[in-house]
Amino acid sequence: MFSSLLPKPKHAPYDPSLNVRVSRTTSRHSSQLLHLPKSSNKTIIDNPHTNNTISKLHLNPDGTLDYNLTIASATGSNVQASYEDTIALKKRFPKLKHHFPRYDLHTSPDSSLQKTVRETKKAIAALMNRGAGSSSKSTNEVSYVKYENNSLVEGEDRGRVIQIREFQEDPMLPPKFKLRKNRHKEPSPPPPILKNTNASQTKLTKEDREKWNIPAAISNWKNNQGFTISLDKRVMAANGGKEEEVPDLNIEKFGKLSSALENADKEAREEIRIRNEMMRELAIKEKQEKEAKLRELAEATRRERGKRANHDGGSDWKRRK
Amino acid sequence: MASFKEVYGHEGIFSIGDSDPPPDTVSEAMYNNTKLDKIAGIHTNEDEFMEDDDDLQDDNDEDEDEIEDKDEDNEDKDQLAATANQPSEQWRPLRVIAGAHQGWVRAVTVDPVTNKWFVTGSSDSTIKVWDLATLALKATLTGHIMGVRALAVSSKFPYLFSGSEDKTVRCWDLEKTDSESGCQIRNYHGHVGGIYSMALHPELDLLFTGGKDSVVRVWDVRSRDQIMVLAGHRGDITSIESQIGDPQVITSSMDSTIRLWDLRKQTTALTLTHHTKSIRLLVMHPQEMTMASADSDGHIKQWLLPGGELLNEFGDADNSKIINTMAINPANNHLFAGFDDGRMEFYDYISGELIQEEISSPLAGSNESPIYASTFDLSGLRLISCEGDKSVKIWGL
Repeated sequence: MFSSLLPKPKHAPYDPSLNVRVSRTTSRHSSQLLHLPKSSNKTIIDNPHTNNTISKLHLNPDGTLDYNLTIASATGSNVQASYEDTIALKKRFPKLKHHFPRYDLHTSPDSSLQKTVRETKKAIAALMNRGAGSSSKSTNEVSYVKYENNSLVEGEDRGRVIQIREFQEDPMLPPKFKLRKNRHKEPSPPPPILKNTNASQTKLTKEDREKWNIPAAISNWKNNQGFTISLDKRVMAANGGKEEEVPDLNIEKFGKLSSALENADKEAREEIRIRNEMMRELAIKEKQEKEAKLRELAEATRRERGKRANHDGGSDWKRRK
Repeated sequence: MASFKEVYGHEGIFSIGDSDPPPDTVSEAMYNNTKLDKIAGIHTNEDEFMEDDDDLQDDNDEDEDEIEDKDEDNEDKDQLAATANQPSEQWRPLRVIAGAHQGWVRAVTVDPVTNKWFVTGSSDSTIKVWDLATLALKATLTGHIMGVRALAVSSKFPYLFSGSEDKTVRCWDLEKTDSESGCQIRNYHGHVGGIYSMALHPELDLLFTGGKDSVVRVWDVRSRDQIMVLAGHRGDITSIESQIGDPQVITSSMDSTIRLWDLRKQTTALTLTHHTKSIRLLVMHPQEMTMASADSDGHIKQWLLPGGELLNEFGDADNSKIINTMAINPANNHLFAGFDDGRMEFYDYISGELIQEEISSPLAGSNESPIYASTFDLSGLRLISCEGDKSVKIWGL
C-alpha cells in the first residue's frame, strides 16, 4: 500500500519506464473493442478494421454486435449458434422423410451445379495462370540493362548491353528434386595421418600385392543393406562360389609313407618288447644266482659252526665227568 | 451456400402431423423402415430373391388350402418373416485372403468404373491390386518407403493415387503395371507430414490430400502443381470427401471439427464443432447429400449437406470403442463401422438402428484383428474389410 513511497530497490530488474500498464476496459462487451458508433440507427455498418475478412457488421437494436448475422453474412451460410442446432433434425422432426438425393451434372434439376463447376474451374485457372502466367508474360517483355565494368585497361570494350528475359520452364519436365537422406558432413577437419605415406620407401612387388589383395565385396545389388562381409566369404565370392583352394596331396605316396611309418612303428615296438623280455630273463637269472650263492654261503657257515661245536662239546663233557 | 430450408423447401420434407407424405413408394418404404429390396429391385442376389418368391407362392397355396386353420397360418407367416429377414439382413464372412500383405492393411478402394478389382495399401509399403471375383493378386506396386495410408482410383483415367506416411503422393498408371521400369508416372511433392487421406474431385482434375501437416493441399492432376492450400485445421486431417456442388470439399480432423470448404474462395465455408473427441472418419453417402462422421468416443453423427445440419446421432458412446473405419452401402443403406478391437457394427443408415454386431475373428498368429479400412463394392453385395492381422476379409449378405 505504502510501498510506492519506498525508494526503488537497488538491484530490481523492474524498470517502470519500460512497463506500460494497459487500463482495463470497463465494458464487458467485447464489441466495445470495435468502437461501435453509440447512436446509429443503421443496423449494418462497415467494419472499422478494414483489413479484416468480415467487412460488414450487423447490430442488434440495442447497439450491440449481432454475431450470428455478422458471421452469416460474411460466410454466406446460416450459422449454427442456438441450442436447437445441437439436436438432431430427425429427433426434432420425427416424421422427417429421409430423401436427400445427390445430383450430378446430368441429373441436376437446375443449373447450380454447372455454375459451381464453371466458377471453380475459372478460379482454378486464374490460380494456375498466376503461377505460370508471370513467366509467360515476361517472356514477351525483354528488358535491356547497360553494364559498364570498372576495369582500367585501355582499349577494352567497357560497356555492354545485357538482355534480360525469363526462361520459360516446361511444366511437364520430370521432377528435378529427389528425396535424399540428410548425410552428415564431417564435423571436424580430417585427422592427421601418422604413418609414412611416402611410396618410394617400400615398393610393393606384384606378389605382395596379390598376397594382400582383398577381393571386392558382393555387388551392392545383392547386399543392399550394406552388411559387412567377412574376408573368407569375399574370397569365396571372388572364386566363383568355390571354397578356397587347398594344395593337392599325392594320395598314393602319402599312403606309402603312412604305411611305412606304421610298419616302422610296429617293428620298433616289437624290438622293444623282445629287449624287455630278455632283460627280464637276465634279471631273473641273476637273482637266482645270487640266491644260490647266498644259500651256499649259509650252508658253509652252518657246517663250520657244527664242526666247531662238536669239538668244544667233547672236552666239556669230559671235564664234567 | 444455400441453407437447408432453401434447398429442400419448407413442406417437402417436414410432413407435419396430419398431412400425409406424398405417394412415393420408395421414400414411404424408407420412412416405414420396411425392406427396400423388393420395392426398389436393388437386391441383385438372384438366388435368395428366387427362394423368397417360392416361399411366398407356397404360402399362398397353403392359404388357399387351409383357410380355417388360422393358428398354423400365423406360424407360417412368422416363419416366412424369419426366412425373409435372416439371410439378407445378416452379414457373414465369405472369404479371407490370409496374409494378403506383410503388414497391417490400412487402405482399400474399389475400382469405381468396372467394379472388378480393388486395391489395398498396407503398412508394408506396398499396394496390391486384387480381382474382386476371384481374389487373385493382379499386381503389386512398390515404391513407397513407408506405410500406404490413402488410396484413390480415378474414374476418368486408369490412374491410381496413393498417399503414404513417407509424405509422398504418387500417381500410378495401372495400364503399365507390367513394365519393368514401374508404373509410377507422377509424384506430387509438397507435403511436410504423412498423408492420411485423399480424394479426387468428381468433375475437375483435382486431387485433395491431407494428413499429418493439418492442411489440405489441392493438386492439379496433370501438371503436378499445387494449386492451393486449404489451411485452418489445427490437427491431423483424417478424412477428405469431395463432391460436385457446394461444399466441394469436406474434411474431418483430429481437432474434432469438420470443415466444409469453399473452393472458389479457398476458405472455410462452415465449421462443425459438434464432436467432442477427435474425428477419426468422415464418409459421404454415395447417392445422398448426407454424410456420417465418427469420433474416437464411438459417437456417429449424420449430417445433412450443404448446410451442415445435424441429421441424426447413433451408436452408443463408449470410451473403449474406437472407430477406425466406416463405409456406407448405398444399395441397402447399411452403415458399417469397424472398430479398433475387431468389432464390427452394422447400422441402418436411415433410422440409425443397430442391425448387427459381429466380431471379426483374428487369424492364427494375431490376438485381435483391428479393422483399419473397409469399403462396400459398387453393387453393395460385398464388404471388403482390411484388418490388422494382415488379411483382407470379404463379407456378404
